[in-house]
Amino acid sequence: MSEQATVAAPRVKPVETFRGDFTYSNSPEAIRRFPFPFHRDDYMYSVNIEPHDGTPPGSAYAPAFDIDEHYLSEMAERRTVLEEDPKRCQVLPYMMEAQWDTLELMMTSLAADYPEHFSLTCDGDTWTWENRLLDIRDTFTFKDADTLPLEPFEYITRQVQGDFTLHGQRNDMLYMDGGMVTCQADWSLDFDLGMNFYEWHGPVPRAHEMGVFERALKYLLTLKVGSPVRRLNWTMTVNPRMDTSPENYDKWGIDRATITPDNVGELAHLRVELQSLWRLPRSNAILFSIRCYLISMEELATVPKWARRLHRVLRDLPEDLADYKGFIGFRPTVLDYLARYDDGAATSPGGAPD
Amino acid sequence: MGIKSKPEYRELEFDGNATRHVLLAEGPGGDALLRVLDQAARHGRDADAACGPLDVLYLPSAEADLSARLRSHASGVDTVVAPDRRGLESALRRVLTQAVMGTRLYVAGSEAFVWACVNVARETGVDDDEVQRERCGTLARPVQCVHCKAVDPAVTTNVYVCPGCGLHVFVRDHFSRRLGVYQSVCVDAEAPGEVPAIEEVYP
Repeated sequence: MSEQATVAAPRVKPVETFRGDFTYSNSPEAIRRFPFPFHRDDYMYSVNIEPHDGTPPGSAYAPAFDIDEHYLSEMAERRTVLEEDPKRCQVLPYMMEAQWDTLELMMTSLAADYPEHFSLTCDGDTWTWENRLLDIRDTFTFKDADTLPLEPFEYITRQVQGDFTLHGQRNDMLYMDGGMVTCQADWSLDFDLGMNFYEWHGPVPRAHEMGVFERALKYLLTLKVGSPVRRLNWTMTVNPRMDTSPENYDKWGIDRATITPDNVGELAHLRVELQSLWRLPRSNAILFSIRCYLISMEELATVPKWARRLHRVLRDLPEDLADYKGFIGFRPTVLDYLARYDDGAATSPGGAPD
Repeated sequence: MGIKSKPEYRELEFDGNATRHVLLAEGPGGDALLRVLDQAARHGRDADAACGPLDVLYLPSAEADLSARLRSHASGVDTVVAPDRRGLESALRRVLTQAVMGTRLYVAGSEAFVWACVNVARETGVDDDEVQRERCGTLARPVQCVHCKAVDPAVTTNVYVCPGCGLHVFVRDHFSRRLGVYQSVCVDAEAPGEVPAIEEVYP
């Protein structure tokens, strides 16, 4: 989508794990480009939406769909989750047009942004897709689902980092009509499937009363083809665990009790979602991309500005938000850790490192 | 303040603009239908006009059996008393295949009953918003365990033992209309064995 290839060819690491022995970590380059979500020293909900326009060059925001050093690891993790629970990928039957829209958008974007890794050749309706990172080469007929090994939405989202949901628009409302959801912050696609915009946001505290969802919905209903938008969301997670699903909460909930002053730097992670929204051309549906980034407190503290600011944000966050974001129990331990890096100095505006 | 996905219910009210009326109830919900039938009769007299055909589909329950009163209430009303939930659902499908524009549905009963009916109606193209819903009798909730997906059709407590996986699960207010269930989630995941006092909150 972007005019030029802004990230020429990201170095992609061999597979690391997001479960069990948790071998995932960020290289210094990955830390520098981490989408740190706090532009000031405090935080409250807002409809913080901006154009997803290919800027700033070289950042995680620039590509249509960011591919980074964790690509192989995240695709392997997705395969594992789907093997255990196939309902993590579901699309309602009337969304086939939106499935093809998604496939087209992702293939053309990846081929434009990362020509070394992906290519797409179209000869009329006969398309050839090559993904050299996963060693995939398939020729298929566009809009003929029988010519692909999987339905188009599942086929392509098994090759792109991030969760994705599909939203039909009817009677000035958006619906949860499908998704590929394997690295979510504690919500269930299977349960929320078919819900309207207000229903699936039901469990979020405060924001309804603040009118955040009304404004966001109104804005999204007018989203235009070719003018995608983005926002950031965040939470705290223990261990670099991608699959913090409610389905498996009985397995990962215990992690929260394992944080100690000795291991907090390694175990506590800031989890950021780079969310982008795309109007799809034929179906008029909206594709919602939820790209997840994880960074440990230790890694984050290598950027002095971020450690100072995160300390202030977490310290001043209201109780109900800390509870909703799932870290109220270990907040004091994280604060003690970060306080060491907060000398009280002023921080520069914006989220980028100094 | 409740969660936005939690359904709201209100007293059934006869809709004089409808061309056809399908009335459904389970157990004590029969009282709500008797009220709508009264309103329909009054409407017929006041407006001096036929109100369109009425169908009554009723499922007696252990809580109440109002089938005799429903049957004797009005002549000319097609009343079906179903032996079980499945019988009622197939009667509803039969009625809805002959449905015309302007058909209104009125449903009264437990939440599990109400949403089972709404989902049958949805299959035949009836929008949720065209169905009036009144909760009657038990407040028991149909609940699905988010971990193993097993459904308990009538949960009356804040926490219960999932019949599918045996975990102690907490009932949330989050509700799926598609599945017709609330969601439950492990209550002691962060501190195994620390289960809060179990209280009957949906009697």
